[in-house]
Amino acid sequence: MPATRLASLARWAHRGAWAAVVIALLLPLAAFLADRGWGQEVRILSAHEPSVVELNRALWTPGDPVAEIYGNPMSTSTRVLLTSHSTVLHPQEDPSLALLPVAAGGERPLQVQTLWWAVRLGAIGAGAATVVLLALAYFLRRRQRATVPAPSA
Amino acid sequence: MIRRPRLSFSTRSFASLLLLAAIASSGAAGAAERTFTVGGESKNSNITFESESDFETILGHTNTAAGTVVADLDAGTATIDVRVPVAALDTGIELRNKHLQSGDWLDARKNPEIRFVSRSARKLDDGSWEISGDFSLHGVTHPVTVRAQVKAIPAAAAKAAGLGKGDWLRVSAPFEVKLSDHGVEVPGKLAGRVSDLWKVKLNLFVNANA
Repeated sequence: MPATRLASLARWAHRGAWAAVVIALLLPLAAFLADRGWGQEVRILSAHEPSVVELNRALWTPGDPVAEIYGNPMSTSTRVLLTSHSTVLHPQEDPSLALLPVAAGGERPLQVQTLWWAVRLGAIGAGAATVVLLALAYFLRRRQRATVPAPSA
Repeated sequence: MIRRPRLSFSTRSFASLLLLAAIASSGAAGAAERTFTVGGESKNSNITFESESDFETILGHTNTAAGTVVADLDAGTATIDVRVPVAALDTGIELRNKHLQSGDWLDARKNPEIRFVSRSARKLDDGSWEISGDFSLHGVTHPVTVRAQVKAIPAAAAKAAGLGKGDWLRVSAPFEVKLSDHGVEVPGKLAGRVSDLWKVKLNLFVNANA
């Protein structure tokens, strides 16, 4: 392969490595900003039917768990993305709670932990691509130097 | 000639008294013990299972359950038998439901039911119930102990909620199930995305009308 071609390939490999570094850094930043902008902490629950909610309300006494009035909740709160605030329920018994009822066969919200899982995977992939491209650039430069004839005296 | 021994008057009277006492006590126990039916309309059952992993927390559920609860609420004793069809489990994603029911997971064809049968149940001082029994999943039975909350529902409240006639109880019980205890191994490609430990929560309205 001609030296000019090797030099060009090495340049592109080097640029690719830098691009992968930028992606590896941008992915967590984008996830962080998305979480800040559109994330909210909720307790997802499998919703009871409205008549059952009314019955549970009638049976509820102060001290009883509140989320159970509205459905079977997850054991802990979860951060979710892109959920309309109108779908989040703040019960009158405890307005500080944010409940996200999920109906039978209904859509499940995107969880922030899933986003971070994907970001981790993307960052690892971008990191691996950086190492491979840098190694390729180094190898191509060595080949290029080997093919360039030494300048005559 | 063989002479049959004659029972004296006092011995016969004592035997009769014992018999009467036995009949009376069995009658009293039967009166306090009632059979409640699990199932019926979908709103009567809300059963969830939760799998927490780094990837996501899955909240699956079903509204399908069947069985019986025979309880003496005053004496604080009960026997419970609840069955849930594997085919009715919903994780919110159709493809995931198919995987869950496949041979790699719960194998709904071979083991169509998840079942809990109590061995003992007693009412505790705080009003909750401690129920020990056998939990069968994937054809493997494992002992489990459940702390349940049982609440009697006044007839008027049950009627207003459209539950129907008769006496109703609300039974809520959380417990944990390890899939590996039941011979279900999380496939390697999904390791880290599905937990071996599932948190199950039952919320049942059971009826004594049937």
